Amino acid sequence: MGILIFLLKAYMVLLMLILLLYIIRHYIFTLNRALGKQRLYYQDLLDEDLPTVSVLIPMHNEEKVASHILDLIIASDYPKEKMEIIPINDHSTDKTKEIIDEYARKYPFIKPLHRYGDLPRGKQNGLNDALKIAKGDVIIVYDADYLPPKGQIRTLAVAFKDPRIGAVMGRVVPINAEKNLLTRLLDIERSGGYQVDQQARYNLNLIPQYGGTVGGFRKDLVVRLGGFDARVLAEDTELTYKIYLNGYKVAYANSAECYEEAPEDWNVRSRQLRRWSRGHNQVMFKYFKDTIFSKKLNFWQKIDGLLLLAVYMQPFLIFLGLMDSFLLFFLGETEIVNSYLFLLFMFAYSCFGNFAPFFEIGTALVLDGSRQKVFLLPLMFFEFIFNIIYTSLGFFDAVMDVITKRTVSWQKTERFRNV
Amino acid sequence: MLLPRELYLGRKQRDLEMYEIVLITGLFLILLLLPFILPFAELFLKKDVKPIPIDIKRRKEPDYFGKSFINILTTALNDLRIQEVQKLNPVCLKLKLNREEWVVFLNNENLLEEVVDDVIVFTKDAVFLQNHIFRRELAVLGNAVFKNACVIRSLYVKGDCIIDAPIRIARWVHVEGTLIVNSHADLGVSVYARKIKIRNRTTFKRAFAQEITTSDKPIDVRLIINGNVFRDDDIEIEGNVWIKGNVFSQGIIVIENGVVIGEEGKVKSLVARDEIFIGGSFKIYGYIHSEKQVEIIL
Amino acid sequence: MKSMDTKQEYLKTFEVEKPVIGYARFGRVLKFNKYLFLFQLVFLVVVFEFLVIFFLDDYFRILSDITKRVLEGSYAGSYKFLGFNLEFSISQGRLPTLQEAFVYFLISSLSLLLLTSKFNPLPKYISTSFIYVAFIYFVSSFYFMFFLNRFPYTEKDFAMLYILQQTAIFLFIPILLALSLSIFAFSWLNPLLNAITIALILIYSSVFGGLRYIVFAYILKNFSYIHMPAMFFLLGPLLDFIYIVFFYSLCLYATTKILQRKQDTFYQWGF
Repeated sequence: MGILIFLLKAYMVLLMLILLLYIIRHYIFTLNRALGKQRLYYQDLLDEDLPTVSVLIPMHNEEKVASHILDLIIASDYPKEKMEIIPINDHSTDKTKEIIDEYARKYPFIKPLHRYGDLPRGKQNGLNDALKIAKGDVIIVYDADYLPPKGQIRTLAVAFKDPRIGAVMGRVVPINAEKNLLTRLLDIERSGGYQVDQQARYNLNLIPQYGGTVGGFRKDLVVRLGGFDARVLAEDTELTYKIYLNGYKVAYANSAECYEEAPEDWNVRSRQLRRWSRGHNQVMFKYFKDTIFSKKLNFWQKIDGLLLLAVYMQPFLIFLGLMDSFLLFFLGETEIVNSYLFLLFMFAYSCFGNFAPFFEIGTALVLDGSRQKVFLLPLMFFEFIFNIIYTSLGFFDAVMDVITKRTVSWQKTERFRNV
Repeated sequence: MLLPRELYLGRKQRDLEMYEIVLITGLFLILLLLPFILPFAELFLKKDVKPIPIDIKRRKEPDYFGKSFINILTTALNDLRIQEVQKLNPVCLKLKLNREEWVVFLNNENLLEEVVDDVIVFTKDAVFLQNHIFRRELAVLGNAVFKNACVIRSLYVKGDCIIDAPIRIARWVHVEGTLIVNSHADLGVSVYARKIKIRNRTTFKRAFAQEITTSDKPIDVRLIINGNVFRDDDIEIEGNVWIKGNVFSQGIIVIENGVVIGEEGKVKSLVARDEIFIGGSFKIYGYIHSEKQVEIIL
Repeated sequence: MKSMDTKQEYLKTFEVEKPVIGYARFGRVLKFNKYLFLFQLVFLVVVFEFLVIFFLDDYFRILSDITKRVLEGSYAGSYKFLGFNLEFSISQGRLPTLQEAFVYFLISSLSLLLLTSKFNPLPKYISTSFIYVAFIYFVSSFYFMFFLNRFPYTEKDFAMLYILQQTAIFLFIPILLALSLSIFAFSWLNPLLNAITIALILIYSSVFGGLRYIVFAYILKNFSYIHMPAMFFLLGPLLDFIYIVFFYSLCLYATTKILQRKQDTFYQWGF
């Protein structure tokens, strides 16, 4: 019994230390973004020798949105002789195929890739197949619900003039923020995640994350690194680590803002969160060791890389901590004896541990020039348990993936656009 | 210390009355829910519900300012159904540009005021012999020569523009022809011209032209770099170098004594997060951009 | 190269207001005054920590007196911590009966089943929060059904734990908020706004924390210990964060509303 209690307490101390690390990270990022010197992105680099670009748009039953994104990319100011569009139609059963083919007839630079029959489904598989036919030196990826502005492909592609850059990522902004509580919360969370978190990581030369959409990568590099692992659901996170472990970097373009459609339904959101968590944790299992021992990463990049890898495990650790504190509570071991430890515990676990994300999002909203949006902050408490449950489930999925070595099937996020 | 204890202790302890329970519970619930009132008010009243505005037409255009100004001016004139600007001899029109304002069209007459508060359009060539402060835009639909110090908010010139006296521009310069700077000048935030010849100490933030030079003498190139230069720290380039690609730094860029960037007919860029200092002979085909200031020291 | 004199002269010739150009969202940072930042940080932490430390004993004494007045059969105790002598009053609570525990067990298990079933019509974010509540009662009632006599706490332990928790909240509020709000250093109005925010939070915390204690003590006495885990895990520090975040957002709003009239008082270029 004594050993059990010791272990339970030791876990709480460990959790406290981990959370303390995340708190410090959040605080440094926010201060750096709010007050520090920002790192310049390449948007001001005017160059007529632009790389050839293949714009990949993974699509599965996207009849509601397909024509919107195709129209916008066609209207892009990127020289058409240097650009091709590859809509990847992945086993669509609605009118997606007809819509794409109609566009392909009109525009010769649209080269659809239809995937049906025995071809395995999923974004990674679609991207791998598209990489085989893509002619561009640079691959730009947009999910089908995105609305890219006219000059964005140039903004993203020009980063690859810098030979150190392996991938580039833009800023995601939900267009349907006004819909309901969920979309409003996602709107302010995205603001914190991009305006503060991503930019701060770019500023500090740490690991900004390639997000799989509104972004791009060097084709030859990714092909050389073996393309995308069909078993990993978070192909974007995996690519981020592959790129850094091979000595390249991800550039974050805070000026490349692009509207997306955020999930409007909590069921859809729960599946999305669970899938992201599963994929992200798969990447963690795959790259944790490599990140520690990499010779290409500096000390701080390793620290940031590890914390980023574990970011979707953190809610699970908190979940364990909750269970742990239940046990300690009923065993009568809540730290009354050692009050100082209790104080530290409060600080890390409840106090700043809870407050740090609010600080990050609040600051991002001020930087974005938002006004009443800040009032939504307390409503994020409704998500607290929701996030813990679905990220933890995703973590379990990833653990099972490792144990059973099973292949994963792709689930698509449902679209809501009213045409 | 704050309140006399007898106040409470004098009374006999007793169980709570029903109304007291209701009162305490009610107060507790109010304090519990109070922090949610404003969040829910915002959720339902939707005062700040729009996502941050993204301009879907947004693209990088180095001639953006001048082009939009002349477009707005032309549109405003077209709306009045006035086709030929030249025939308007001294005339003032109230036009809706970004806001409704007076636009003064001048032909051959001299501008006498020192401080000018309206948008001025010279319909032919213009030579500026006295000091002026233009608080609004100045447009010259022919060639322009500045012979005396002037301060201008923004300058548009349809022909060539020669600056022979200290000029300070606050925002932008757009010259459709060649811009020649023979005197000290602060060209403001954004400079655009077909060709820019800088022959004296000049500052600006960004400049775009097919060709920007600081000297008429050809540069004797001894080293050619076929590619781009990207650095996180400062860059110093000195002496008889031709870089065919872009130069990009997260710090300061110093260029001295004979440097060529880019190739004729192709746009390339010189970009720094901090200052760019250029001394001696220099030529770039394309774009110079600094987040702080570009200083050409001659 | 021209001499410095010429340059000075040249600069003097041109007296014109520099126009304000809006800073694009992607590159702007907050206008920063290092001295005001440090001043605020030190001032807010020192002043409010001093106030908290100075009034902590009195606060709990008054709370103890009020509890004594409203709660029948209460007794007094004190808890010594960090040189404070924190008084409290509490009346004897009771353990739940087997029937009570069973009823709670039944209700919580049924709720859990219903909440996790397909027929649950509630949106997931509400369901998950209820699942959490139901789970706490499930564990609690299960424990009291089988290990009733092993329950390690009395109402006195609960009171001490609550005091410790409330003390921690009081002590952390100034640090937490000073660290987060001091980054607004645009004008001398900021320290004032930030100080008001921290003061409001401390006042709210005192009133709400006190009231919460009385409600808890009343529940422990008149209902049973079966609610104790919920008080700790559900209505504990998690609850404090809701009003702390609320006042924080209020301060953000006030700051932007008052000071953001002109962009240039607020932002600067971040490169």
